[in-house]
Amino acid sequence: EGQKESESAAAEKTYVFKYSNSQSDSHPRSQSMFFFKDKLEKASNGRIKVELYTGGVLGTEAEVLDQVKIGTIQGCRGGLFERASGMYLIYTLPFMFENIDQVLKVMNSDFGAKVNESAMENGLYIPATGVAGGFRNITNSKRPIRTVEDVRGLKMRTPPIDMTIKTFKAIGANPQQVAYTETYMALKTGVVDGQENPFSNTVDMKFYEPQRYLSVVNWQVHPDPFYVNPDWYKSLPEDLKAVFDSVAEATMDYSNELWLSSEKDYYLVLQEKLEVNEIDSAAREGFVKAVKPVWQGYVDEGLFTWDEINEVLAIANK
Amino acid sequence: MSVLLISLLILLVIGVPIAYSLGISSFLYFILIHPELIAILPQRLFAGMNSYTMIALPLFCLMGFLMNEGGITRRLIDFSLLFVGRLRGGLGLVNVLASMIFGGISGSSVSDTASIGAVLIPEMENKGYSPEFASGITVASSTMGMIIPPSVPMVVYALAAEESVGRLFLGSLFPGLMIGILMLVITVGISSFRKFPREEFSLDKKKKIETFNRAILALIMPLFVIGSVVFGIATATESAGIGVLYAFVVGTVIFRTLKIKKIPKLMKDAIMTSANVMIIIALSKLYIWILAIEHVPQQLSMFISQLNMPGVWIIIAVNLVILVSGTFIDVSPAILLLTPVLLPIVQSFGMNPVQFGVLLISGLAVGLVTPPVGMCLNVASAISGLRIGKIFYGAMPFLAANLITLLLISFVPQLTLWLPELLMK
Amino acid sequence: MKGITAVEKQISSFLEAVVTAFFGLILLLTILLVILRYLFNTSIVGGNELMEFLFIYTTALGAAVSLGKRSHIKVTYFVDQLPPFSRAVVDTFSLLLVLLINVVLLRLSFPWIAKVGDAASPVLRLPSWVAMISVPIGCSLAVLYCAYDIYKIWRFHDSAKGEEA
Ligand code: NA
Ligand code: NA
Repeated sequence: EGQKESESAAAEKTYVFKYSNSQSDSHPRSQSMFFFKDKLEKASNGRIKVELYTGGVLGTEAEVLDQVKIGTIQGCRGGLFERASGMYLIYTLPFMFENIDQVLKVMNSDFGAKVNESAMENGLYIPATGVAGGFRNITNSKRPIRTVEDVRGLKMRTPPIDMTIKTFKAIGANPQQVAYTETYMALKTGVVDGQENPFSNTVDMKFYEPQRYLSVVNWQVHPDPFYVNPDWYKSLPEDLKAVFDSVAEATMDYSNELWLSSEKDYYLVLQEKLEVNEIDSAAREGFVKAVKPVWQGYVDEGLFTWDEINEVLAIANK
Repeated sequence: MSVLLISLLILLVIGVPIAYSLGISSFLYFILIHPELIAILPQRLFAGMNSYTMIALPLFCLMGFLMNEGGITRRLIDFSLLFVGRLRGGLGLVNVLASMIFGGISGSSVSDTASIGAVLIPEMENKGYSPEFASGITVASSTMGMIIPPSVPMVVYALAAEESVGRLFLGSLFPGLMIGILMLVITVGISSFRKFPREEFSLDKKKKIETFNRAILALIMPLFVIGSVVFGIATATESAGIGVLYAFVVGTVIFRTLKIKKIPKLMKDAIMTSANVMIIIALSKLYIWILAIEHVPQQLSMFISQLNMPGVWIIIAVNLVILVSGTFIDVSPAILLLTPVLLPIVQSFGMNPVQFGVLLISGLAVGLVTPPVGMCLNVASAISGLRIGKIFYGAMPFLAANLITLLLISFVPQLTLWLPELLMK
Repeated sequence: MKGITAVEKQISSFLEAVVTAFFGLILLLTILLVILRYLFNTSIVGGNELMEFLFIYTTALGAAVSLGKRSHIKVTYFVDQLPPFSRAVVDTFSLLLVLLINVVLLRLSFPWIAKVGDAASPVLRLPSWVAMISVPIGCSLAVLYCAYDIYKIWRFHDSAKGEEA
């Protein structure tokens, strides 16, 4: 009798899912979350209520991720995947992938699921991971980058990310930290010679204006895990857990679709504004060779093993 | 929601420090309304303290202190005398002109009142100016200190609105200078009416050049500091650091008036000032987080759009909110509390974030010289021994310059936007 | 009871010295980073991050010391109108509130640090608790300073009354 009552109470109970990201409403990340809200509220018959806080009103990405961990909000998306699990860095190894399909294949494989599960140790439940836009590529004002030698001595604006700094050092550039919002002027005044970003950011921030060359070297992608508070997820009845998971997966697929198709449009814009070159496979080999010590460094730190790297490469090239 | 506002007002009135007032009323909100969210408290406090940009705050403070200790005030006053001293009301004009230049060196209005007031208030009284006029013109013209770049409050706003510091510095230059020019005009008018004295002094050409040279090093400093931010050569924080280095070298090597052994004390004053502002920023982050989670800015915007009032009246109402807030609370907390609430509203009426930033800072500057809470009034009162009410009375005619400028900033976007668009694309 | 005042003075000047030293380090790093960039075309990896860490401590410690000096920014206009005894009562009440919020922050900072304190900073990859413990340290000091301030209010209030009598 008592159990029945609590079951029906659980059936009537509504669960609030407060979610936040830093991007504005028009950004693919926010757009896909509007989709999420709509789908989840419908699929759960209103038993899960989704409250979205876009535009960074609840704090920076790092702060919001902490809020998910301490449970004041229930979900977020953004960078900082290393804080969820060091395993995510395997997706970001320089020159690891040749095309986005390879990345998505790995993310949707059993290996990808294993990476998502590893975040549980750090107090985060990750129902699905997508890509944060397309490959990151290099623009600069000095010369087209055709081989790794062309990078030598370039003053590159890099975000404050360990992997990026190490990679650009490894390929002979001089990485400089400049805030994202100050990058335009730093490029314009020659404080730095170049920068690396996905096409979308390069267009959004008008970085092409003070730059001359875009070299499509496809050096790195960033994963976009959907961070969820595990205690909140565990509090859901089994049926809602399943609903939540399937909507989350659909959302990340939708997000990938939106984000990658917008990258294509941005690439077209950049082809008009800049002198664009792609690199051949021989040149790519040169880059791969130069960054191998970076891969080794992360293996030495114990974030993942060579076996795991090879597993990823095998899935990617299947 | 009303818990937040009412408790905050009560706490402020009974003299609880502003920082902790914000913390306590947030705490009350959590206890009474959302106990499950209380774990956020330390995180928001920490988030507020954790800011690279705000490191510019103690650095800009120290830069001003070093210039002042290095004898810059006297040099600027002599320099101003050279230009406007011989006109009627010469010392009044010098007071305004020196504040305009000083505004380009210091980031705050309070330090302007303190340093220029300490020299000019007694000197003006000796020359027969009324004490109300001497103190009034000092505080009123010192409002330019935080409007003319560089400006510490502008850095705080840049943080709150996620705007570029360089754009804000450029945007506030013309409005700041305009206040100065209007104040000079007002001073000329009052001086000829009240027959204030001219400064009799004749300098030979050599002396003139010497006075000019003694001030010029101080005069190029703002170009140096602002230029490096605007042209992306350095971040705001770095340019403040360079400014400190510059002030140090000028003070010790060139003016030779800055004593090395005084520097630790100045550094301590600068960083303690920063700590007092930063703790307010830290706890305001908590308060603002609650406003966001309660969707207050959106609700307010919606409420206002439902009023169906013409944009002009909304902008005027926003001006009044800024002026009244500035009268009761200090500049930094006012910026932090008003920005997230007012910026979306004015943006929906087509105002640019840079334009609003300049409007906000210029409006709050007026609050520094209006009772009951006016930091500049307190400082001037300490110098002249006059009650703050009397100083305010003396300042009133000059504040017309601030009010006219406020209206122009509100309704002539080019005044703030032309220069940043010209120089920063 | 002079002992307490002397101890407070020593602690405060020690803390101020620490805060000033940290500021000095921040200043040096700022200038050094610009010089390295323009003259030597290089940079100190993690220099900005280190500055942030130091800056956090200057605020946490500086705010506590300011409680001892009663130098926080506040609205004094209304309490200034009060007669001395009422003023002492109101001041005590507000200090108790400040003490309370610091106790709350102190208490909540432990589970917070336990939960998210091991996240690595992006460049130096230092665990974030290194900076986070500035919160409980600052709040503990703030609690002590509030208690000391209350003691001082009533001590001097009593002695003033004593002299009148
Ligand atoms: Na200024
Ligand atoms: Na003045």
